[in-house]
Amino acid sequence: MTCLEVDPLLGASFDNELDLRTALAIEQHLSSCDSCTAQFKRLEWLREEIVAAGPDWSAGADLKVLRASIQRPNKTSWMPALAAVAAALLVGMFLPSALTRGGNGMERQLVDSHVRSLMANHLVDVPSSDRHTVKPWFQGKLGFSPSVPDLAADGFVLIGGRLDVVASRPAAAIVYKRQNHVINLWISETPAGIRQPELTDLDGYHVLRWRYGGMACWAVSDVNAAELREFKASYQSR
Amino acid sequence: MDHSRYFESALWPHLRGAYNLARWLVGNREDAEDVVQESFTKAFQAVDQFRGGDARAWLLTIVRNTALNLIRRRPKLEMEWNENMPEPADRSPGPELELVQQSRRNRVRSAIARLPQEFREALILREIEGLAYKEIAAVLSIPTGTVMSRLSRARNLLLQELKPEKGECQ
Repeated sequence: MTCLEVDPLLGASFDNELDLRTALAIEQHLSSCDSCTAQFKRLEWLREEIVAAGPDWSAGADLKVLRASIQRPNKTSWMPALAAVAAALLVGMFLPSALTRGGNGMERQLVDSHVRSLMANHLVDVPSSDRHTVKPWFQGKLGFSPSVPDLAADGFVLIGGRLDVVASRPAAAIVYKRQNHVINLWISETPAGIRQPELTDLDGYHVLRWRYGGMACWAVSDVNAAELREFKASYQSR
Repeated sequence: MDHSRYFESALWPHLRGAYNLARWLVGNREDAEDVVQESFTKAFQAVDQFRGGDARAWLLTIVRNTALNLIRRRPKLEMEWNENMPEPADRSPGPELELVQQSRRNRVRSAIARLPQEFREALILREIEGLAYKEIAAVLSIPTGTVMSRLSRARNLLLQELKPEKGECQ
């Protein structure tokens, strides 16, 4: 074998991935070729460096917590899913009337939804400040998986999540709190529509809308507009 | 033990490797945890499609696809390669050596982090997870020959970057 033939196979030989005949031919070549032997030694050196660097992220991860956060296959799991569908249908029944109320239908609908969530004692279906509880809860209930970051470091505390309907489409409602102010964040797979104002004020509430990774997002709250923008920035940075 | 219980017990041992691969692909802890959660859920749901064979390669394939989906959806982020990177537990050199070794380890990790994704994933699967070429080919959905060339490219890039001192690998 020539150096030119050996070179592309050297790595596989180093990894013991060659058939016996080729492996022997390469060994024979190495015994008489200094430059290929040097390259082989460089591969050995590199492997030692990698092993010494210990680039295994799992060593610093809490795998027990991660494992506990994973929903195990559960034979009775259709029960909460069914309840969620019923809840979504119920919410859906209220919404068409909101759409006919004039003004900007979408913003009106969201503010109404926000207010309803505050007074109907139905703020969240899954009350938890743990993103590992809230995010998996949505799985299987929606056709997408909303991102549920922990924003406590930025002063937005996760309260929980619930299923909702926005513009006749299922949506994830994720609830955060800044001090005593509730922020409802809806996320839904809605095709990009007519451009609407990014920020709307209605009945003392602010509605902030944006699109993110093919998803439509709406945040509604009575925090001031700057704080709501801060919330958006915080959410998007995770 | 029924099929799904058996399947479950075949997957859990690979939680560690799943997290490591996800973390190297997505670049930060939170996204990696999300990817692992989603992947296991998907794997459990797809238990009927699993026809025996290599449970690890099967799981890692799901992890990789989930991670790539996430990367595609979000803005490009810098890989947080050294933030809280765990130190190998089995090494306790004297303090005078510690700084030198630390900087050497960081050099290697950051070089791996800067590899283009297709080379980085092949390298991680081979060097950290210890997969055979055939298994890597299955996870990445590429022919074994391509595994060989990607690994060789990954290693040459690392060697260029890290350049062993003359005499260091004699």
